[in-house]
Amino acid sequence: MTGRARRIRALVTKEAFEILANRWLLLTVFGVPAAVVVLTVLNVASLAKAPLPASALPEALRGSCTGLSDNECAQVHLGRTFGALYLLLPMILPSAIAAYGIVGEKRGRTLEPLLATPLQTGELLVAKVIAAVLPGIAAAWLGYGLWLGAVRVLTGPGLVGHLTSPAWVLAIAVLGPLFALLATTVGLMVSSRATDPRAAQQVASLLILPVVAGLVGQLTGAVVLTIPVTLALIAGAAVANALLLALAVRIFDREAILTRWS
Amino acid sequence: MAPARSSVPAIEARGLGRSFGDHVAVDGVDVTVAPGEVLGFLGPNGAGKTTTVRMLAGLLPPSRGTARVAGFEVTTEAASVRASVGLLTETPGLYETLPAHRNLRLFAELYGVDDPEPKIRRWLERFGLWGRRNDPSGSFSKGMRQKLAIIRAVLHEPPVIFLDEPTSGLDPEASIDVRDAIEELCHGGATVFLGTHNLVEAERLCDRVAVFKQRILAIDRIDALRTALFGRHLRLVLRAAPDEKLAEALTLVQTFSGVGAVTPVTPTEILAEIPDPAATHPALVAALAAAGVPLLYVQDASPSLEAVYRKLLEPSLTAMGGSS
Ligand SMILES: Nc1ncnc2c1ncn2[C@@H]1O[C@H](COP(=O)(O)OP(=O)(O)OP(=O)(O)O)[C@@H](O)[C@H]1O
Ligand SMILES: [Mg+2]
Repeated sequence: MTGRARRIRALVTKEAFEILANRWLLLTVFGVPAAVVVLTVLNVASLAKAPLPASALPEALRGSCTGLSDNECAQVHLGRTFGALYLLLPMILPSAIAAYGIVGEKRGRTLEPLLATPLQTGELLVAKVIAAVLPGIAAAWLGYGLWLGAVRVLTGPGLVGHLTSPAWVLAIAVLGPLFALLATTVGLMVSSRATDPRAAQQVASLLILPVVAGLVGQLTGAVVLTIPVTLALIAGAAVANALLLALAVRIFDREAILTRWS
Repeated sequence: MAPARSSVPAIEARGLGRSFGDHVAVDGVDVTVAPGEVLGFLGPNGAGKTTTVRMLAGLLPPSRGTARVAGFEVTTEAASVRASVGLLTETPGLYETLPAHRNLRLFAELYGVDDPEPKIRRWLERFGLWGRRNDPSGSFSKGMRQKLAIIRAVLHEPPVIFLDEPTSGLDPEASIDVRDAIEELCHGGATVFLGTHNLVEAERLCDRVAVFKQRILAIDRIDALRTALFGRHLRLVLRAAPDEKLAEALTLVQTFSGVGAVTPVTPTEILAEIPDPAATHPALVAALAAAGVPLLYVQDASPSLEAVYRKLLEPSLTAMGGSS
């Protein structure tokens, strides 16, 4: 293992131990995904029991349900809407972890000893991003899988097929992680200026607003996640990530950390 | 990475300076520290000790001047400098929720220490912390934290160690404990740069001291600084004796060759300035004994390091007192 990889791994390990030692963060990291899974499974379970009236279906969506009964179509529609929570999940956890990540270091004055080692500033940034992003992505994918399993058990294979349309799989597989990266970078940048992790996290979590808007759009039928829409969102998120990361690298200037973050 | 050869200075700074905006924090430091030497860097609050240490440890780029530390240039080879030095920062900066052992393990990995576990164990045992290795460092006393931070700085066995006020904020007992730990380091052969305003510490640990305020006001061995500033004095204490014996003693000392100014402090105590003690003391004591002067004891009466420090900083202390 190169020195660089070893240093990044060491820092990521440290971050993991810090999360495990922080009750509040631990609650977020395990509690929020668990709540999302429970919520989405309950939703499907209730749909399976009490069929929806056709009137619950937005007019715009009716056309996309060829070959399905109105009730099935409504199930697919609501299922997709709730599935969008698995795009939100990777944004919530990383911004919380990232916010604690830097503010905690500032408070404990742990950055100077860290910067006194051969660790490079970019390595510090990469380690922070990995430590924040991975739990979010893992939780989102795991939760999504659990949910699909539950849907299958509760309603049979038909609905699962519709929920795992290529556009949705692409979104969960690629767009979710990109969102996670975006939220992390914003969380790191905000917390590099703030001294209170909660404030930092609140600002960073404003970022979920556009995604919530998309979710509402999905619910009303204004937004339908097709492959072109997904690809466009992926491209947009990728560009935003590149710009923000470039900015973050600047903010993470060694001297700035040392002389201003105290 | 080739270790610095022993003929090469461990630290060599030329005109090293740093400003923050218009404010000059460090105004040109020239210093050479030999391998294995323990240098005390004494200065009041705000003198620029931390800034100097940060520049020398490859953490903060200087605004002016150059420095080579452990054979590397601090500006162009900062990463190599950081890899070859250990730094005890002003605040311990431990991860308080993590166990002591985990704190050390992280830094062992960051410094690329091979097979770190036996080394971690050896240091923890040496500093009496092995039994507490699994406790969160936040549960440690200040002295224990400081010792843990020292281990963190030396685990990779750096040839050059910077200690920034290692005992500030510690109670006397913890200070002694930490100082013992530092003394062990100093005997380990590493070059130690000790930034402090604790004179007891400097006196006990350092081969040489630099008195510093934005720049080095004086640098030498402590006794050389004393001699240079105050001359050397011998204190002669006599048993209570008939007046004529005391007068005789005073005359003898005053007229003795090699003795400078002589001051009677009390009727039974005489302070004599003696520029060359090695040449003068034995003969003087012999002469006094031969003359039947009732000597109780003879003592080196060097002024304290505090007096040296105050004298060197006097102009700036007065200036500070006047302005604030
Ligand atoms: N990042 C910074 N930005 C602006 N000024 C600074 C910065 N760091 C230090 N200074 C100033 O430089 C001067 C020297 O500070 P420094 O911390 O090096 O002193 P010090 O000798 O370590 O003091 P102390 O004994 O209080 O630790 C001070 O006037 C301080 O205010
Ligand atoms: Mg200082």
